[in-house]
Amino acid sequence: MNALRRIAALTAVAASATGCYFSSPPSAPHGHNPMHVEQLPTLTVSPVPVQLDSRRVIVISRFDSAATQPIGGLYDFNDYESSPLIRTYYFKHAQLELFEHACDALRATGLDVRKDYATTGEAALIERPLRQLQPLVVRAKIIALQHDQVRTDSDPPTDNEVVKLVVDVSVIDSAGASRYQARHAVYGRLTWQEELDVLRMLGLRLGERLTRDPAFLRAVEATTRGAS
Amino acid sequence: MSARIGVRPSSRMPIRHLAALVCALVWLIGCGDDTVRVGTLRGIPLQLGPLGYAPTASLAVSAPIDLRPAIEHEGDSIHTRLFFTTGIVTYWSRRGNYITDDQAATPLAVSELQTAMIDALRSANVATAVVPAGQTEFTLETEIEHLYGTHYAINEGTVVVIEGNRSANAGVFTGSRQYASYGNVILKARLVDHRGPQPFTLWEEHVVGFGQQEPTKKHVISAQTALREAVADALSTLVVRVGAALDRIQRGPTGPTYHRSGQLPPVFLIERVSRYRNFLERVYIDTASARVLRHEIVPLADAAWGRPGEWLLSRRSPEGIVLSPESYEAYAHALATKYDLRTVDDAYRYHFFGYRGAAVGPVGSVSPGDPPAPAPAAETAPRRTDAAAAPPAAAAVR
Repeated sequence: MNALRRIAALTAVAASATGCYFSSPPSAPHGHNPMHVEQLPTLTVSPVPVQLDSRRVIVISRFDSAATQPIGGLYDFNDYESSPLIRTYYFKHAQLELFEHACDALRATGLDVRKDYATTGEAALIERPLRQLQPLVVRAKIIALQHDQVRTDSDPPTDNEVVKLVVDVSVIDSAGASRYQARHAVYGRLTWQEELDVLRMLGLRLGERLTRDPAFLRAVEATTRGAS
Repeated sequence: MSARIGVRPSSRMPIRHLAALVCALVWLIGCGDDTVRVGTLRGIPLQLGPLGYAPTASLAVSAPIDLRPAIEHEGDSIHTRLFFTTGIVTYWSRRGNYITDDQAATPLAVSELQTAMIDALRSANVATAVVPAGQTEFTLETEIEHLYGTHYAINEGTVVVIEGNRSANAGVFTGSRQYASYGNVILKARLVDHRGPQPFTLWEEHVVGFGQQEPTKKHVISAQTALREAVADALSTLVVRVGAALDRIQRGPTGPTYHRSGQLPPVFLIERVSRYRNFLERVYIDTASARVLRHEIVPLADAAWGRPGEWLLSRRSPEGIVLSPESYEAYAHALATKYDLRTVDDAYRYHFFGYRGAAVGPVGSVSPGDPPAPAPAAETAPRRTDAAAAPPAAAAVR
């Protein structure tokens, strides 16, 4: 009888104390969104760049950036206890790497593209010898940048580099008049490899996108080489 | 982590369970966080000394306008993802981002940041006078877009109340994971020129500062330290960028540019940025003999000086004076009679590819696998490299 009373009392207390609460707090660092590897296209860069002609000198200015740290995280969806986020990553000069490689992609088309490291493309700060060439200035502002490494929950699991880059690109002439303005978003994934330079690929892809944008080509007065 | 907390027996057994559970939870709450101390941006160490010794501009630094999003004022912390209790078993899982609030970052962001900017600009000798307000040629205006410390965090735990013969015990099992803390400062900065009849924006860009700290259980202090590091970094970037903008109009810390005629200089400099952009390597070359006279490696304040590894004809004279744009052109044209200089991909500097006159020389030393040096042609002007035909990697000097 005593045991039965205890069980009944315990059950009553347990029932009255039972509760459940759940919510969805962020599963990624502040400013980041989890990216689904399966939904992303493979990040590719054409080995044969489009060949372009322009009589204008193009100055690509150092990229402005509003991206924050961490730049990304390592996620393991295949084997984790508390959270798939294993660690977060810091990289200070990502915008400079993107700037260098986007410029390489533009130069590979045959355009005369020159970098201005000191400014983000202020028309008032173009020096006289360069101004005499009446350059067109390409300006870029990084709105978002994320580079994650993700091990999937598939069978077998795969290791991926996952990237997101959102950039506002504009072209002005040496008097400061606007010729082009557009937002470019590059999302993609790459299978993890030792020594893979993801930011290089991302910069090249951004440059390649610009060289395939007719509005951008009109702004820099470029035509496809050989086309009438 | 696990622990056992016991409660002495009494006649009311279910009460014992509750007491054990409450003891366990109180114990857990008490061991969670470190104390928040009020953050400050006072006393941020200045990373840069004078960038030059001959500025001619006067500069007023306005108080920044605080445009931070609400979350950076109110802060944030980890949130409960899942909680359930049956009285006997209680489980919780919490995760999310800690973000500093005004108290942890600094309650005086605007005034402290203005003072820190003035101190940094004065220390770097960017202008003759750097004042908070007044009649000056230039004004530096800033907006605080971001200023916070953050880190991700996870913890979870289970409390199980176990009934014994003489007492009720609570088994406590907890786990947590610490992640690195980051400081982020993003200022939108603009330099307004008041010299003309109408003020106009001479330069504008985002000035970014970052800091990072290793994962630790003292997570608030860690985020505060990362934030102070980020402010120090942003101040360094700010003075370098403002200095570079003023130098472009020849009013900056390096002073008025040097004018010289187009004759061959007796000595010239080439320079390249180190792999991680933190050092600049300079080589002084005797023009007549092409011999290296001096080789120095100096800390580099501006990570965006150039592409790592590429030799450029410096815009400085061996005396340390910066050449005017026209003088640099004349200087390069004169040197091009003996040296291979080309416009590759830098808008304001020539790439240096070595000595034209010989395949082997002290400067343009060519390794066996490299292509032969170009013949000394009658050419007297620096050349433009065809981007597709000769990528920068073909440089003879490495």
